[in-house]
Formats: sequence, C-alpha cells, structure tokens
Amino acid sequence: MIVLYAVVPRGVEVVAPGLCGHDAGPVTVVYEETATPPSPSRDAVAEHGRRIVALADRGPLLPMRYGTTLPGMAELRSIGVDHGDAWRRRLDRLAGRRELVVHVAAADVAPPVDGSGRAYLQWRLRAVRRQDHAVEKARELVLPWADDLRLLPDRRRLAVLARIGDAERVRDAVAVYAAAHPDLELVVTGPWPPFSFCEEAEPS
Amino acid sequence: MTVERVPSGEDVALVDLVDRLIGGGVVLTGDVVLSLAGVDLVYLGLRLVLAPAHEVGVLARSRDSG
Repeated sequence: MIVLYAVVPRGVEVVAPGLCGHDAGPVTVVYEETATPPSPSRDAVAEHGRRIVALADRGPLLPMRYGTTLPGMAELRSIGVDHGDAWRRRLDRLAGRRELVVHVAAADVAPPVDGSGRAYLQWRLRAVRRQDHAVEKARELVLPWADDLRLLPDRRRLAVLARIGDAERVRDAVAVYAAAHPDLELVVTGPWPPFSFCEEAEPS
Repeated sequence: MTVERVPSGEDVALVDLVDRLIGGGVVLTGDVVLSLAGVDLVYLGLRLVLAPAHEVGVLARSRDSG
C-alpha cells in the first residue's frame, strides 16, 4: 500500500530514507510503500510529522493529512492526474511561507461559590467572552505579518501563515505582548509546514 | 481518567505537530483512499490536552458516563 506524505514542486529531489517521489504533472507526490497501514498512535503520527518537517526544510511543500493511504500505484497515478494542477497552484501561493500556531488562553477565574445554575452560566459566559477577547487581541497583534490566518477549531489557537523571514518577528511581538499581559497565556509554536492552509487553489 | 494539561515549550510543539497532521493537511476523499481506523482516538486525546480545565472536566464526565 501507498502512504502519502506530501506534495512538492516537480523537480525537487526527494532524499529521505524510505520515501519515494511520483511525478504528477507540475508536482511530485512524496510517498512510502509499506506492507501495513500507518499506526494510529501519537508516537507514529509524531514520527511521520518529523519526516514532513525535514522535507519542508528543503522547500515548499503541501503536507498530506496523516493516514492518507492508497491501495497501489495505479491509484497514485490517478490522483496525480486529478489534483496535480490545483496542488501546484496552492504550492506557488505558499512558497516562502510557513505556519505558526499561536496559543491564546485567558487566565481561569475561580468558579462562583454560589452553586446555582444561573451563577455558573454567568461565570461561563464571562469566561468565553474573556477568551474571545484575548483571541481577537492576538489576531490584531499578528495581523501585520499574516498572509492568511485561521482560528483553529478549539478556538484557542490561531494558525498564522507568515513569510519565513517574519517568523521571529511574530514570536518577538507575541513575547512582548505576553510580558505586558500576565493575565494571558500565549505560546507560539512552529514554524511548521502549512498544515492549515492546504485547500486546493482555484485558477486565478 | 488522567488528563494532561498543556505545559510549555517542546511538549506544546509536539501536540501541535500531531494535531495539525491529523486535523490539517491535504484531504483526499473518494473510493481510492483507504480509511485508517483509530486516528479519531488520537485526535480526541489531543482535544483533551488542548482543552481548558473546565471543558476537560465536562469531556471527562461525558466519556465516563458514555
């Protein structure tokens, strides 16, 4: 079976133990042939991720979602024909950019001693508003460097697509802001491959 | 039930890497793509790690009673 790792521009040499490249029009699909499906364990996902991060150090890349598996080469050729052009357009738009993840957490406030449902709901409402406000402030903070920006489903993290050279500026800006706001917990991770910005691009 | 909280530094980065690999990336659908059992459980575990304390409590109670 074929485990897909990433899509890179055609011509990029895939030099990684066990990984192969299949040329599909303007892109190369990076894959591994295995006898068993990928393991659904956190360690296996992390190891898969480290290989993708290493590939991303060599140039622009679209990471595949973990566990994307095909029966064989015929199917790989087929999806290359179907998606190659759209993947190339997306790769071109992501060139020179990486993803940063900004964690934003407003400090917890102790729940009310009054155990009524009304008091609890009011406390929860205030907590949600505090969190939303903190996320909005973080969004405004990183906006000058963001080519694209997504609120992740947990509503506590922002995925920021920024130029590689701006990554440290984003980190510095967040660090300065966090130092001035001890009621907030702000953590930046990355730069990552553009995991959150991989939708196929329409022709412009 | 043991629930991890997000500490800092490398642990947070590892959680983000795993989370984005499962929740992000290029999504292929269709008959040619084989499904992979069990990844949803890894994702649920990450959601617990990333959730704030009061939501973790709700999730944990929900799972225990389910």
